[in-house]
Amino acid sequence: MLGNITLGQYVGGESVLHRADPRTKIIATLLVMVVIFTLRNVISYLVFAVVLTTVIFISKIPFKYTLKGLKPIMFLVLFTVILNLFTIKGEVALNLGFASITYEGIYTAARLAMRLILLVVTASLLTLTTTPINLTDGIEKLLMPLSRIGFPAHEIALMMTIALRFIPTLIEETDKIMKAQKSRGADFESGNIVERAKSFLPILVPLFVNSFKRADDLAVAMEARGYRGGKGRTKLKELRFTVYDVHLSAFLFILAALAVTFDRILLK
Amino acid sequence: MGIETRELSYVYMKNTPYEKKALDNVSMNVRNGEFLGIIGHTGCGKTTLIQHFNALLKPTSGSVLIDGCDIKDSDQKDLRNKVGLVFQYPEHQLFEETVYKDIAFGVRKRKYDDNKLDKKIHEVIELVGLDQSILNKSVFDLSGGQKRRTAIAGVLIMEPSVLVLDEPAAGLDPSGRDALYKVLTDLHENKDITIVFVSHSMEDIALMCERVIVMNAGRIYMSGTVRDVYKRSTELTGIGLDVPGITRFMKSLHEVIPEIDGDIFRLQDAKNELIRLFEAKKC
Repeated sequence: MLGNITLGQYVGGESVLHRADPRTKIIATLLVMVVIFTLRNVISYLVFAVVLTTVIFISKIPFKYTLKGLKPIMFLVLFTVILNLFTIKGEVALNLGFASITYEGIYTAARLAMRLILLVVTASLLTLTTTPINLTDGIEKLLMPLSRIGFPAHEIALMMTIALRFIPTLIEETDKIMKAQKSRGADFESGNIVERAKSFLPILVPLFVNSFKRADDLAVAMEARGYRGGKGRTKLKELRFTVYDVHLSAFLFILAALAVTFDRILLK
Repeated sequence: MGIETRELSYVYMKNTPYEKKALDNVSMNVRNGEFLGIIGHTGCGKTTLIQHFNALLKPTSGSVLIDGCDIKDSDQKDLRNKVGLVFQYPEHQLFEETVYKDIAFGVRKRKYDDNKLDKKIHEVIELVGLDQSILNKSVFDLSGGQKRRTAIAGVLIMEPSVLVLDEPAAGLDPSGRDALYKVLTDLHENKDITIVFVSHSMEDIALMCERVIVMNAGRIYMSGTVRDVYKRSTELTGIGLDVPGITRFMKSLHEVIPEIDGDIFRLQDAKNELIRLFEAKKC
């Protein structure tokens, strides 16, 4: 059943971002994140937000999807904003009696909130435009040089692939077991914390049992198909840099350089 | 106790690119005391439909009535006591250390005293045809068929008046399947439990059910008595279902010998029909 594929965040499409090589996208994302961290000016962040919005527009991904990734960190953003608003000392903008808000506080809060939001949107743009398989392929290729000094690049990539592959399966299974236990009168919503934690036992035990069984089956199936580790293994779809990667990287490097320079000038 | 759905539609993952309409305007009913079969191709919405029967899923539109009462307005726990749902591969839901404890899980909220609980457990274990000696075994030491019957006992202990089973025979060997079907027939005949039997095996439905609902692509394709539905074999083949082998055999015999009734769905009936024919010929 189609059920709950919420975690497979990939949204297919035809755009420069979808077509670019995952390696380019991973490095680009890291670069953009570093740039976001180095920016110090609210105006730079605003400009960056506009640029990022344009990139989302180019990727043709519905805007609300990119914002969906923000939901889990909204609490963190709010917490940061409130903490900064009230704790930073400076010129008082608003006096509430018990506490006061300063101009410096507002400034810092805005800056940090923007930073967090931009970071998350950038990261989710990567997962939204890259299939999980491509993503792990990219990571494997990027880590390859390290395998010469004994770093298990292939094994890590394989573990990630398997983990990603089984997330929807596990969600589906959890959903099924939960429903089955609910049909037997299980209650996951009421009671105190201890009772509630206990009520998850009827889900966790079958889930673990089934997962071990599944892992066993998977290992046997892989061996039956001749899997013998990463050495000498070829790929069905070899990753290849194309003209899109040149465009994307050129665009991003120029953007990064501009952003950093612009930010420095504004600071003066 | 009856179940009724009115223009029931259900959409998975609404408002996402993965949106999928699983049920489309389904109006059907389960009559009190009947043995109803629901048949359809994999992915036709059978499982989605039955999950509405005990309010595990809420309709996207339309309504589900249990005993004339909308599931939106009734108490869910109460509902789940009335309608017992046995999922496909129910053995995957077993988790307790012993069979005894696992079966008791469904009624732990009812605070039965030890004697009563003991009595109930022995009652259901007998209903599903298991031996008392397994009660203290670990659920993970049982055979596939035993596990499945244990899981069914875990639902039966709640004393539902409707029992809904999703592909109860999937993955069982023929003897396990026959034993299970005997349990179901017993429950229906001796305990007056209304049974909804979901399957994609036309043979099994013919063997077990009185009335059958055929689903296709989230809709009710046809419904009626087994005889009425199985007559329309060309339509059934059209949606990827197939009439039982014995029906095909009797139909081809019917083409050669018109006296033979071609609409036969059970081995037993075919035997009787052929005996009747031979007896008639003798005279």
